Amino acid sequence: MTERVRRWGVALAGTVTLVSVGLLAAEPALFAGAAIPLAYVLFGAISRVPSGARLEASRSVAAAAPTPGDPVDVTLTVENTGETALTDVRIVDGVPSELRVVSGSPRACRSLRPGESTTVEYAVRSKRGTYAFDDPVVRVRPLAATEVATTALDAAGDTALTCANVVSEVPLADATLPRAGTLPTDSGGSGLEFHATRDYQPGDPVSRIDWRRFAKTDELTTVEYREEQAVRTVLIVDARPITRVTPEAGYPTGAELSAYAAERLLDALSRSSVVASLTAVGLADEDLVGGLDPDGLAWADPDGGAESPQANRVFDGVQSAATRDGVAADGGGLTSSRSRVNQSAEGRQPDVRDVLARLPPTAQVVVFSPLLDEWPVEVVTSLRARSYPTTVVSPDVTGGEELAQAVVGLERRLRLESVELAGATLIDWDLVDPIDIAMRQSLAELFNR
Amino acid sequence: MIGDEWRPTTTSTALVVLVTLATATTLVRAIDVALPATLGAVGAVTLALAVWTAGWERRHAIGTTLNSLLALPVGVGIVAATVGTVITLSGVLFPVPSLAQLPATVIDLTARAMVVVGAVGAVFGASVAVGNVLDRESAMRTASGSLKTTILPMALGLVLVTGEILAFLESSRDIPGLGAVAGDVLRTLTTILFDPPAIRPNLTTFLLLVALALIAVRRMLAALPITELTTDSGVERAVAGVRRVLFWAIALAGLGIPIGLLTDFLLPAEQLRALLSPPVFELLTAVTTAAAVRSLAWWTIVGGGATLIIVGLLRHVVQTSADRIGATLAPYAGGAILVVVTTLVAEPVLSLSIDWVADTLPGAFGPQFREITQTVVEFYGPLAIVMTAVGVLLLVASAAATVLWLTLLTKYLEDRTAGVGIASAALFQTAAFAGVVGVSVPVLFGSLIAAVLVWDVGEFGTTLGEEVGRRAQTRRTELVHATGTLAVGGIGAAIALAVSRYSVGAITISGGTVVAGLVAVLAGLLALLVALR
Repeated sequence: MTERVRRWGVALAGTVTLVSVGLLAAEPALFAGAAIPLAYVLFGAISRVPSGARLEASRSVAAAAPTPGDPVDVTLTVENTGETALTDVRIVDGVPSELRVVSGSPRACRSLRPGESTTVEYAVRSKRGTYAFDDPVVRVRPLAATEVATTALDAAGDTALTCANVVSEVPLADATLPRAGTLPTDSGGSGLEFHATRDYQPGDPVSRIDWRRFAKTDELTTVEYREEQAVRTVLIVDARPITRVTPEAGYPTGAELSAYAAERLLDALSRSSVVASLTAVGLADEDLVGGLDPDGLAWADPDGGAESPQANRVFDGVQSAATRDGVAADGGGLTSSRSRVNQSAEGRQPDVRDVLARLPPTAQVVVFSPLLDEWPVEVVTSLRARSYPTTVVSPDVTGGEELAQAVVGLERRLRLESVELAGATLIDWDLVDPIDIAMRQSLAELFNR
Repeated sequence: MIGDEWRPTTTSTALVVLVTLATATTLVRAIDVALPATLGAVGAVTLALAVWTAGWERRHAIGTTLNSLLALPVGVGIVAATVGTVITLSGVLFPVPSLAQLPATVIDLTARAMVVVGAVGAVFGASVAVGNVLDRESAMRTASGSLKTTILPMALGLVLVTGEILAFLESSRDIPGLGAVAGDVLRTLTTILFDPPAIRPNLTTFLLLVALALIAVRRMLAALPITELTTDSGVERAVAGVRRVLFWAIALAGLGIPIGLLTDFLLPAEQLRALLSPPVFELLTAVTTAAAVRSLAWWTIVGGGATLIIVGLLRHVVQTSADRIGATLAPYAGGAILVVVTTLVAEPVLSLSIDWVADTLPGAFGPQFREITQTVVEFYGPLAIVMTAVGVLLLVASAAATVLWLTLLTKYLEDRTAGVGIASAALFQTAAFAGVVGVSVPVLFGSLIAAVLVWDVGEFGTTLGEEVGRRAQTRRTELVHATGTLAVGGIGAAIALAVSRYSVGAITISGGTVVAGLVAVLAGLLALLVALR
């Protein structure tokens, strides 16, 4: 696409002015001087983008599978493969709109001789998911800049940035897992370990009759074994609108970080054959494929860990909610988002009782929440009041130097304290640490009680 | 990163500023008016700063205050660049040896002054281009801020001057014409109101003053937050009681005024004396003509009015946010600061300025000017003169900002390239008038190239800043572009030199006519260009 630009109006006006003043003042030098702006006007009028201009581009993305929040270097190389020198080549790489550029600039302006190439280097903050780059757009102008040719180049090389949550290697090899998802009870029934004997009652399975004793005493007795109950680990992801804030621009939101931690833990639990359920609170109907359950929760009992379709459905729901309701990317959105959320969504705060009603009687609960309001504290207190073993994993999204941010951080620390006082195990995930450290702690605490 | 926060690229902006300053300096040096030009340049930079501070979004109040304080230097700069230049130049160019040279000298003086004005304009354009701060919004804010700043000093200056005139008219009886009439009216008014002769009772004006004073006191009582400040219900009742009493007093005084009209103007004094008995008549005369009582009533009215205004303002102010109040009051506060500073330095500044003008003016004009100003200063006093002058300077600054805003409104100047546009056009103007004054041909052609270069590089940098942003490395391309533009300018200058050198005979003007062929060629070229576009 080529278009003309009128930018020599000043020179044209100058020509006319000089001619008139030169005539009026009878000054030959001024009259002759009109040739100077006139030269520019002529130059601009005949200047064209070279017809044989050709450019080629290729892109490379440094990291193959980064973790969310990591900066990833992107390099775009543009080469002048035509025969003519291009004095003004402006390049804009098609960064996915969801990703934020954290260093460098995806734009550049270069002068390229034939055969010369140039690179545009920048880094984006990775996010969960796959993001396709658009084709880089180049704009070529002649020296007088009176014509603009704009075109999109087909970039060779990498065209997408994939940021996977589940890493291939087992990250939690040294985590202590004393029990594979069962909890000893003090009631008799079927099981492995001897518990007691009792009189035979009609209907008891034949295999449980103590035949030796029958042989000795001619009495029918039934052996009871210690009953083993499967413990369900329930992961509650706090994805309410208030959690959808970021510590700094381009960084994943609190909800996304919570979901990410839950995903990692779910994966580790499924490797250890622990039966786990997953729920996310605070999602809207349109976030989740197929909609929410009638009680307003997104509940999943996934088989096969984090990669199972049910779990993915919930995590994708959190992701889409965070993208839909994300904070403006100016970084300072923590407080503004808070007030906005408080105004609009006060009415649809999820009921703690809905969550409690869904919990199996024997369950360990892990709550993932950035603890930005009192709701998670209320949940944890209710859980502890019903003697559920509870763990809280809290990504800290309250960084920042501003006064408002400091206040929010202080409130969060107070909530951490009250959660701990309620008897829950606390994992305060400072985002500076890799998530594996927090996860390792999480698992150790979860199964070492 | 296209966003609201784009700015022109650094290299281009630096080039624009450097080229503009160098060209403007070179051309002004050829004129030899250092002081006014420097003052004008300072004023131009200050105007750019004022535009910048007026555009602040976050610290609006501080920005507005700075903007209003900067208005005075802006006015000084503009007046220095125009009036100062003319005075300086007239000192150099006049008196002319013969009358025949007068028109040529006047043209020369005008052209030189225009060179200085153009150079100052170019400096302003370049300064504004630095931050790309000039747009319709900031220009409008600058204009309104300066105008609000003007109000206080101007009003005070006018009040002082008018006061002096009135006092003079009132005190002297031997002025001819309209002054005499005005003086008589004034004298009659003040006599009737404040100092009536104690020969008979003067009820009308006395009761009028008293009624007005009582109304002022009553309104003041209602406005002041006396009842809000106490919890005692007794105070509230007392205030209500006083107001009631005052109401009846006012009604009584109001009723008394018609009676006063009767006794003062219709009834002869003797008859009144007979009617009232002499002691009552004497007492009434003494009370109603007492200057002290009337003065007290007058000052009560003035004080009550001032209190009412202040209380009203405060009530309005406490209901508005701090930054908005700040931004609203800032220009007036700026004006008040200027008033205080002016009061402090009025005398030395006035004598310095008079000395400078008198010394600079040519020939016999200097002593004459000194004589006239001395009389004026003696009459009005230095404060009134300097205060009014400050008001006028501020008005000039406001006018400049308003013109700027109007120019931007007409869209002859685009917001995005306003700064470079002004710089380039001003340089063109400067170069053209410098050509009239007769600078050397290389300087002239160099300035013309510079004028186009400033526009070209500035516009290029602005577009680049919009499209690519300041974070990308763009210096090489910008330098390549500037070099190309310079080369084209060189070719143009070569052609111009050739034209002026080899066809001197063809274009030399003889008797006011130009060789028609050349004009035709030029017109043809322009027509070709229009067709090409």
